[in-house]
Amino acid sequence: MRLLNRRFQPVFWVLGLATVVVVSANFPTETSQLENSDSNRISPVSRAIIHSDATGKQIYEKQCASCHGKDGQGVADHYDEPLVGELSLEKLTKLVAETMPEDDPDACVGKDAEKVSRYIYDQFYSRAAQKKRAVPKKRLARLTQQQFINSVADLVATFQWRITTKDFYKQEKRGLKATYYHSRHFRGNKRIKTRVEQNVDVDFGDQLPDVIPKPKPPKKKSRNLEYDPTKEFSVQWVGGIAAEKTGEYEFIVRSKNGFRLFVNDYTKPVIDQWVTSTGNEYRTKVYLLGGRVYPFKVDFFRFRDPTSGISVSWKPPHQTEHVIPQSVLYPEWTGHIGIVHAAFPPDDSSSGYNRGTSVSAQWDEAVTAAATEVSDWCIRHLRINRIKKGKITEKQNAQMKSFCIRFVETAFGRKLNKAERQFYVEQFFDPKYQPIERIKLVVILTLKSPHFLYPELPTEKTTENQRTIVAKRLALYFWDSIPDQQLIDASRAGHLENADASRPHFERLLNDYRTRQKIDSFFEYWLNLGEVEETTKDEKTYPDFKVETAIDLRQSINHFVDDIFWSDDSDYRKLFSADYMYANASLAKFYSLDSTPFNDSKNADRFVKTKADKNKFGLVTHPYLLTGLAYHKNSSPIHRGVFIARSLLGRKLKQPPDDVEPLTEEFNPKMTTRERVEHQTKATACMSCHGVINSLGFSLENFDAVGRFRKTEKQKEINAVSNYETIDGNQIRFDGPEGLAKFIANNPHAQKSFLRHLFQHLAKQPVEAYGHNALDQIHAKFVASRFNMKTAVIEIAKYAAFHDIQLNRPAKPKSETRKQK
Amino acid sequence: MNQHPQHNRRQFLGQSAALACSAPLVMSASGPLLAAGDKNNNRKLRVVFIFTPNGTVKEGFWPKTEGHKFEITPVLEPLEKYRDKMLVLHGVCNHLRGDGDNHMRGMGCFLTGIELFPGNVQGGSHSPAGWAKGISIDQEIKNYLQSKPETRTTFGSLEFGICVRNDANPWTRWSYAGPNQPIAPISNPYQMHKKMYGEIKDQKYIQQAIDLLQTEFDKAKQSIQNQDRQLVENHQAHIAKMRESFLQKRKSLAVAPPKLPTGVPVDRTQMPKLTRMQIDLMVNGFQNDLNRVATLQFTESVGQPIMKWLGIKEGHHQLSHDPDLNKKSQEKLVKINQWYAEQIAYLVKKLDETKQVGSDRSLLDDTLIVWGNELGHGNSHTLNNIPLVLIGGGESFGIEMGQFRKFHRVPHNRLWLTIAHSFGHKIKTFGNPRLCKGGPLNLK
Repeated sequence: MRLLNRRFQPVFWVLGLATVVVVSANFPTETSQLENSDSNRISPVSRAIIHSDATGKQIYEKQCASCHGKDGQGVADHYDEPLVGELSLEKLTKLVAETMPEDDPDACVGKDAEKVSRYIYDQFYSRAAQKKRAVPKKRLARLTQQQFINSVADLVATFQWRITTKDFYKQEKRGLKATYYHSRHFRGNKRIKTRVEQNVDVDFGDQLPDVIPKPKPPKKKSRNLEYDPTKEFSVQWVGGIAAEKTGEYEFIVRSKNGFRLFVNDYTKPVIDQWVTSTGNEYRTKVYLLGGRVYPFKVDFFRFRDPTSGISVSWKPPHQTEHVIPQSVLYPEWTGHIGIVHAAFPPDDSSSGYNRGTSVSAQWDEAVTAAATEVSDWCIRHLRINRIKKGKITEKQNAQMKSFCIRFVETAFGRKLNKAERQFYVEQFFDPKYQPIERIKLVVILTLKSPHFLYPELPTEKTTENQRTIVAKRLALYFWDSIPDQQLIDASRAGHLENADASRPHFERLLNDYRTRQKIDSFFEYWLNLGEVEETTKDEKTYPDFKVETAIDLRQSINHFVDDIFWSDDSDYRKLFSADYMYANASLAKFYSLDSTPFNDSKNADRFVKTKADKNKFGLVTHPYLLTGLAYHKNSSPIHRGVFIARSLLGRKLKQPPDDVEPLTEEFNPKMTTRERVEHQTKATACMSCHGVINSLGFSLENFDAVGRFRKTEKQKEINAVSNYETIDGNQIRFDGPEGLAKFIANNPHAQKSFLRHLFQHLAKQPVEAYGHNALDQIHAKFVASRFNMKTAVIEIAKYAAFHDIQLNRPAKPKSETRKQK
Repeated sequence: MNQHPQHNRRQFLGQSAALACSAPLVMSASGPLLAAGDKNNNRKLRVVFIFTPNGTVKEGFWPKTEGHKFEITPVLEPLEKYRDKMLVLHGVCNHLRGDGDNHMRGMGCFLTGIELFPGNVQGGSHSPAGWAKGISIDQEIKNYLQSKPETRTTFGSLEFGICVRNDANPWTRWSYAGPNQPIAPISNPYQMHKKMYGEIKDQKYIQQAIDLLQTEFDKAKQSIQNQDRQLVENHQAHIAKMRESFLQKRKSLAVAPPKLPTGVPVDRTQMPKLTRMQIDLMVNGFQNDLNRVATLQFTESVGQPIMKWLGIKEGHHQLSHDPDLNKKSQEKLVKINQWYAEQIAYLVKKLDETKQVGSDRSLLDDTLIVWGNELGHGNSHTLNNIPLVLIGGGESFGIEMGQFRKFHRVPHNRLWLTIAHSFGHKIKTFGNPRLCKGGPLNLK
């Protein structure tokens, strides 16, 4: 039918002539979209009757509405996208004059084109118009998958002693406590020495460890296989290990001797090779939450093996495998972190960021499974399984009850009222319930309760409740978790509402190790860092580019943004002006960077700040992004341009026509990439977006598909000069990456785009829901703070946390009033 | 609405065209069904929708000869043995437009036959989009079968995934319970095993907690409105369903569950093993009549598995962007698609060799497999000519197999109508009604 329609269109136009004005005026737009759209077509003849004194609105309704809809919302079968965009009014006018209406571009030119463009621009096309039209709302959200897992881990953690990351960073001691025994069992009477060692990476050869005094060789060869002091020994390495990021960590142990590896549980090994076999390398994956320190232990022994040695490596998310370094190890015991294993479905990310705004059966099942898992942990922790039936003492009973009340209160982030205490806890302390049943019911009821799953569920608007909500929000923004006692206390005392008193609290929130994970995932989201492991390049053109190169680049860009973000001035602009790159030895070689830092053997495997040549401008020229935004063999100015336009400059782009196959080198082997792109996008219709995309992408043409600097392509000198038109309609000439980088750093739209992404990532709500000028206000503070990103995080958190909170300011304490008198 | 003479004329044309097409179809479709009578009514019809990503390879996939004498092309080679039970369709197109890039619409509009909601997820091009606006055909058929006691099964449908990325976005979801309600496929065979045969731990306590929590949810709902309230209501509905499932006693199994190899890591390097495990589970589920509908989703739209086991070092999606002239890439793409065909052949073989419980008919005799893709062709991102292969017992479904058939740009919605009708679910439209003109495709 579609084809048929097109063929017969002229006929319909003539038939539709007389009715057309009535149609566009009378038809409700919604219904006209689907069924009646074809009849709205205006014949070329009808356009002649438009008078020169017609308003923009009239012209629009007569000439444009049939394809674009009455409110620019689009019409199925004609032009079904909304008429929104970012061309300046001048450009839009020019486009309309030259190309519209599609079937008769001469029908709307000159004054008419100006008037109608102004109308379109003000009514729905421009950003301001769109803002006016659609105001997104704040939505009630359940805990996201990450928030649920973090909250449960922190909830469980409040009930046991452990090393907090704060302790970890406050103290400088690093490494593991190694205890040597001169026997193959860890026998107290054979204990020789305990000392702190860097890590577990040791080759004893055929000797005993140096701490064990050389035993005299037995006078005659002992037949007793039980003990051979010349060979036999064991070592236990104990402590904690800090995980920076959330994700799968692969642990790799290489040893021919007997060993056990423990991660996050000193009692259950994740690899058990106490009985040696023929293997030499053992691997396992463990899921860890970022920003926490986990129990870590290695048991090792040698009996009669000819030699001995062991090395423990890991492969954290998005990193290459390496021996676990001293910097993440802590030489003290620490407590287990309760990570639930239930299989959560991924959260809804259809708004561009993960939100808990939908529920599914699978999610409900996962929550339930997690709740039973936690209840088991509580039973073990309280040793309730050891209580014999009916033999519970008064004291045990009271302890159990106080545990339960604390459990529910920590989960809900607030005190329970009398009715709630009865409902969640006390009703189960009836003799008809066994101790185990009580814990099961309390825990399952709590973790499946809407008060836990929906942290912002409205409560009575008392000051205390409102302040609780503030604390809960802040904990979610910074840590994706529940608030700790310190935060709740600060909020309840009103300290967070006072600019001066709140400062140390916000500093604490920011500097918590868990916040690093949140910031890290922000950059991953904003810069679309994606799955690096899947990057490969044309082997002929880039023989040295390996999968490892891509993983190294990912680490390089992580170090880079971390370094700038966590520095004192945390200057956003430096993301685009830094003239260095983080590199390890192999990256330095591949990208011809200054290799002097690597002459120091200490730096052999490390990422260090390395001076790049004069063509480095922070993120814009970082080879990780340039490599990702390129084809297998050639650069891709379109991918690069689209990324910069959308993610960095915050511009909106429209659809290209369907089914465009990108021109490839074979189209004309003599053409450069730039020439090919220019050739394919030269049509006026393409240029409305490609004018923007190409000018951004072309300025990076000096960088090939792996982000290496080049001066020529196909024996022709690279042309990286381009003219870019800003959202405000100004023309800017870029001559390579420098001008582009400077522009992004200083452009308010780009800064706002950054802040918008940051806001959405922290608060998981659209910034527009907080008022039409929310973003402007946050931006003003950003400018005032000299573009300090850390301050921006705090300001956004404050802005969102106190949104729609009405506090009945308590009267000033009497003592103060008296003083004033 | 008298002001549209031309509209009425067109409407009339459209309707008469639809009538002209559908009239013989209705007759021919009902003919054999009626004739088969009771015999067919007792049959347990099943359908499996299989997804593989990134479009197909023009030269390697499409046969040249129309009709029964079509040649087996390189991609279809693994399925050669089942040539007579196979129908290759050309010219069936995904005509859905609107928000989302082609990879997104190719995925989200494929089983649903309807547009995506506007949203915030940005693809490689086009405007951003959200979830699909409607239910998918697998779920539509499932709901139909679950609505009648004689076709109701424990699960109705099971959604299998093979290494689907752990993100919920329009590229990773093709099955929808309704508008804005994507269904997450289960990629972990151990998890699927647990779902299909496992007992729920602590059921007694969960049941009691659920009953107690009703009042908490009711109170919570009073304090909120609109969409927020809808969210909590949905939540409550899921809880109620869980409660209900506790009350239903599990049917005893006719055949023992398959024993899965232990300790297979669920990651992309293990794709071949995981595929076998999932298919074994699927076939067992059918044998035990746990479900009549299944989906099997290999990775996701824009899927980028690196098939090292085939000696291919590049990701599939990346290769699919290479031009048709690049012979090496084309060879690799053929290999990749051939590998997918092999997996499907494994499923077909198992279904063929497994007898239905209490019958001498094979599972394949009453199963229809529908193999599709989010695109027609990788480098152009076209949604036209989706490579569609139907395999199974054509007789039970009123579909004539053993052919290569060409259509001219027909909307794929009509194919879903055909399949729904073959289950006896005589819906007039599915998805966007505009794309259902002409009614079910005649596949007799």
